[in-house]
Amino acid sequence: MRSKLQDARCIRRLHILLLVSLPFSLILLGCQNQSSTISFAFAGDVAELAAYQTLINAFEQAHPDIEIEIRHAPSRQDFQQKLVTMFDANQPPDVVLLNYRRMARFAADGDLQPVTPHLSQIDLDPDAFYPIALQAFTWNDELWCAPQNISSLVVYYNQDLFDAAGQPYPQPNWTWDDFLRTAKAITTNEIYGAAIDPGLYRLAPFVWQANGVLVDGDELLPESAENLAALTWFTELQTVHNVVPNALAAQSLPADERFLSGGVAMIFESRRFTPIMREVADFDWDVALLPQGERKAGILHSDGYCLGQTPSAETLMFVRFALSEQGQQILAQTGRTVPSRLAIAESDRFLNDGQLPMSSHVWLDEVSTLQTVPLHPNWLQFEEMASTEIEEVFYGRISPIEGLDQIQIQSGNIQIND
Amino acid sequence: MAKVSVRRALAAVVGAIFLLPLVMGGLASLSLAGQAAPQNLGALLREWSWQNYAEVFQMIPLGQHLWNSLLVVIVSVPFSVLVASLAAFFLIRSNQPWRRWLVAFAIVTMLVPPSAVWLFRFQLLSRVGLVDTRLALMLSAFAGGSSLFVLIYFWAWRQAPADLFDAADIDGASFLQAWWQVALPLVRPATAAVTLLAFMFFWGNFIEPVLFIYDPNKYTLPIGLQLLNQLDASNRPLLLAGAMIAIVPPMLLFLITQRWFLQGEWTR
Repeated sequence: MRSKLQDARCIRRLHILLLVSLPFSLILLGCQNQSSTISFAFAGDVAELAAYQTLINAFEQAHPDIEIEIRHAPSRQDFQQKLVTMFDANQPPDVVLLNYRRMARFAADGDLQPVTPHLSQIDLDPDAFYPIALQAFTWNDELWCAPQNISSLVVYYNQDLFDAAGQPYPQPNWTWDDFLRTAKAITTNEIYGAAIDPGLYRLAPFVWQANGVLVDGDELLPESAENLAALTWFTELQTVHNVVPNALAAQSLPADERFLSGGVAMIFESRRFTPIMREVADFDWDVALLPQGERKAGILHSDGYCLGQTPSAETLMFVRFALSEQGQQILAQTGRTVPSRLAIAESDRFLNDGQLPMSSHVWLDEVSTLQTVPLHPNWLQFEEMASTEIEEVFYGRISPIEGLDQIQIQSGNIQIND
Repeated sequence: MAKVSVRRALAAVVGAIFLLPLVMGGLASLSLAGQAAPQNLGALLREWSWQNYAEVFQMIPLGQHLWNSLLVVIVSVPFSVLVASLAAFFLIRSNQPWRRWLVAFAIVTMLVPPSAVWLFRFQLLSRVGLVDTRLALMLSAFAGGSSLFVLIYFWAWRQAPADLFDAADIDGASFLQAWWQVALPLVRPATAAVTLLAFMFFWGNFIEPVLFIYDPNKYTLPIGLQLLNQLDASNRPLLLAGAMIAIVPPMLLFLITQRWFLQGEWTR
């Protein structure tokens, strides 16, 4: 009897503990989603989060009856996990911002709804957008996402280092030889002519410039004379000419940090690098077209608004707003995007916004030469695998031909066309 | 005596090796943000400022992230200790033949990769409307946090003489009384260890907020650090300032609890 009484006291204490924690928990529950909201999923850093918040605020101001719920992840990798979980759990976002290289996987899994049937509702006039951006999101004869931006790799160069070495700035038609000659002239014991993160994404434009292909039938980076020439030129910048940091130097200081600190004259980056250059670089700088080989070629970097489920009228209104001149301008103001809508990209709002780089037109000059990587559900895995081997070649651990061999062996039959 | 001195000297060297990254991180957190990274230690020490610690709160809502993380651990850690210890005490006192199967099951669950249950947990939370709530981050605490915590208590009580609990039974103590008045005071080192591990588990939980939280206002500290990690290279000092702030609470807890769990035995 005594034991039961004492048990009851203990149980009462536990009840009190639970009762105290209950209101606390209820407060933490917060408000639940309203059915009138639409969800917008994207990945991005603080500045991107702020930029999309501005876009959302502008939309909500124009449409007070519609609320946009953000589904955000800080990095691309985290975002991929979040997105896969949401789709697999049948809780897809209404709108999702995806790079075209990541899109095919979700389209192939049946997670995305094509945009094609809704072109008029989102006011997507194909003539108002760069064709390459529309092409990048076209898979199996359907447009899967509405292109938001159209960036590409260009050469960022430190004008102070060029001046100090007495080198002329890059010209629109400069070649691989010009690039190498300039890099050699600038390279000293402390300064590198260029810095490169070796990988398929940065090698690809040089493969195309050598008339090579990333994929031929079922082979990734096949062993052709053209592909070998591109890989050899790209990697000999480090292994033979030593105008880019070696493995140890690259490990001690990443390419972008080395460039920002004035230790490198040239770097290959997309428009995404512009805001940090504006903020940090304490030297004169500009951008130039990639040096050309047998022909000109660049690589497209583009994100698009994709539909995660059958769209409601409100969802389409949001995509329409984001694609509109107002929406594109809001994002262009961040400095990190090249608008996919011609009217904005070719206006002073992008070309002459009063900030560096002076030659923003380079991104538009390059558009006619841009190519896309093949659309394949597993493309990112192939890209990662090939990049590992390219790095091995770049730092002289294996020869270019061995690198191509390894890529063949590891990729197997991938069944896609470049 | 000489042996003790050598041992102390060795301990100091090992301690210094482990402390070095923390010191370097602390120093780098004081270097000027928004500039090219210092190329050597001399440059790092030449220009420094506490400004980063103020700026990091302006750049991202780190105060909100800190508060969210504190809420999670304030609720989750006591519940983890409570539930894990109760479950372990039940296992210890149970004479049922399936007890060993429960222990084996607890060990097996530790072998399941967390990624294998993300989808199931997301579906479950979604079904009960807890996705995008802070409660979603605390829910595992109501089941003891981790089977490891249950096993720590279980193994700690297995080292205690069973006669003690039998004596409590004979004296008329109930199950809860025996747990609270006899068993728990016996395993203070285990409680300290579970408290610290549970704190680290919930404080450093990154993937669950990524998957289960949508609203940036409900982000916890690990997400805040990941946001800082996404900043450009010139802002690395801000990331390190954020990391230093994140380290403070677990370090304080370690200092408070170390006198218990450094006794070397699970039981007092």
